[in-house]
Amino acid sequence: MIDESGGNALQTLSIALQALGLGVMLICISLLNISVGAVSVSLMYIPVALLFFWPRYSKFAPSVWVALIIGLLQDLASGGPLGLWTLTYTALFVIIDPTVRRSRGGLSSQWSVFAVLVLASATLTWIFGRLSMGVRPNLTVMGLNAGAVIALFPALFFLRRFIYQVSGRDDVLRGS
Amino acid sequence: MAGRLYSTRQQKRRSALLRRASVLALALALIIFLLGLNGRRPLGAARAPAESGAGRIVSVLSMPVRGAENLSRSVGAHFGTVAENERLAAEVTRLKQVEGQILSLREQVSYLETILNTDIETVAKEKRIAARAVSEVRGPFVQSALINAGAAKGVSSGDAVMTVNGIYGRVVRSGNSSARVLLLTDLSSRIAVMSQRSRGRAILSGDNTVAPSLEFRRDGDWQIGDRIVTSGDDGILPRGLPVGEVFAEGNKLRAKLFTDVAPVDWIWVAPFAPVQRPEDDPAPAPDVPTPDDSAADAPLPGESDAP
Repeated sequence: MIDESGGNALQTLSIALQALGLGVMLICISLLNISVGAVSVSLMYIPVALLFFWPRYSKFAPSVWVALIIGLLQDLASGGPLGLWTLTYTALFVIIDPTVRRSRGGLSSQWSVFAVLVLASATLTWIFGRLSMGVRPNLTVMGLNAGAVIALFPALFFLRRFIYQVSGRDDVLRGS
Repeated sequence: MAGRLYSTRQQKRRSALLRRASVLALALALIIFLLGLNGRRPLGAARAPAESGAGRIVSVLSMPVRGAENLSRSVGAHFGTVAENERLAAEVTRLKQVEGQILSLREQVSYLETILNTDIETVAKEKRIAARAVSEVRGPFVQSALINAGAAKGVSSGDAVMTVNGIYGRVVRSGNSSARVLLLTDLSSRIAVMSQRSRGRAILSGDNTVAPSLEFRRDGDWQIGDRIVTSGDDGILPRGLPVGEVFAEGNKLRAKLFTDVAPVDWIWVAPFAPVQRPEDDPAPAPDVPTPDDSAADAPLPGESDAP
């Protein structure tokens, strides 16, 4: 028989691993470049959605390490300067965790919080990118990419809702 | 009372643990960031498997995206079919004339090669490794692409990557089944180029914008509209690969890349053996017999062929 603390530890580990799996998927999506006419956008800030949705279910201690690993994987897979996403996601997670845990409400209020997170993430990557590369990262491209991810939020919101409804976990939705 | 005290103590212990986890994670993230400063590329061994794994997933994910892009392009192209047909007919007429000139020039080059007993390298080697660009990152921090061919197919670091329009970039890292291509527009991309008209030399320097700039032109003869090709002076890329066309932006000359016309899907890798430094490619020692050899070759007493 598994005692309560053992069961909790197992659940914490399971949630952290789920976050990692979802993070890998989001990183792969962040590597896609989508051309719409003459404009080309990349969804490089989409893993921020993980930092936004995940703290509601997980404990802080393992999640901060998940944020670090997700950042490191994005650094390695994107071929960019090492540590840029690692530091951004870790710092962002430490800063935003209490706010996100308290964030409740419908689409519009969550959309606003998510937009703030993406913009905070863009600001951090601009600062770290400037330090790492020695030149100013292109603000227009960053703004375009951040805007694309913010615009995509309703799709993520309803997809998450659909998954929970299909899997019979409406209790989670009522809590958020 | 005792219960509340226990609960407060537990809460304090929990917040101390959280603080410690945050500080540790942040410190580790900072160390990783500092390791990657100044263009250093640590964890090189981890990058290839990460890119290989991501490449496999992205190649599947990119299919519907590329399909949708191609569909929208096809629909757009459909409306201008008549005008496009007329333009293509004019282009075919022009290309027929150019083909005649090329055949004549090829004959001249072949004749000159024969009488000079030399090999004038005008184009890259014929070997081509076809691949698909499964992910193209044109972000503010890096401009690179993942292709679904790697060392298993003969792709190696430094190889030029081409599209039908011109050079796309060069391979900077090759895994077993995927490779990372550094685009010409990336901040760390530098290639030696020349004007096809004047043969003036320059360095094409990427700055994470769509049009890399022409640096170190000195007093070379460069004009707006000049066609840019690789010069091969860097010993890394072959000579004569088409790059782009010169245009001015302020007092800077930039290159409008030939590959910057449509999303890149199919590419090919052109393996190239660069010219080696003499130190790395020593000539074989002349076959001069040593005193020991002559002693060994000398007939032993009683073995003489003489009758």
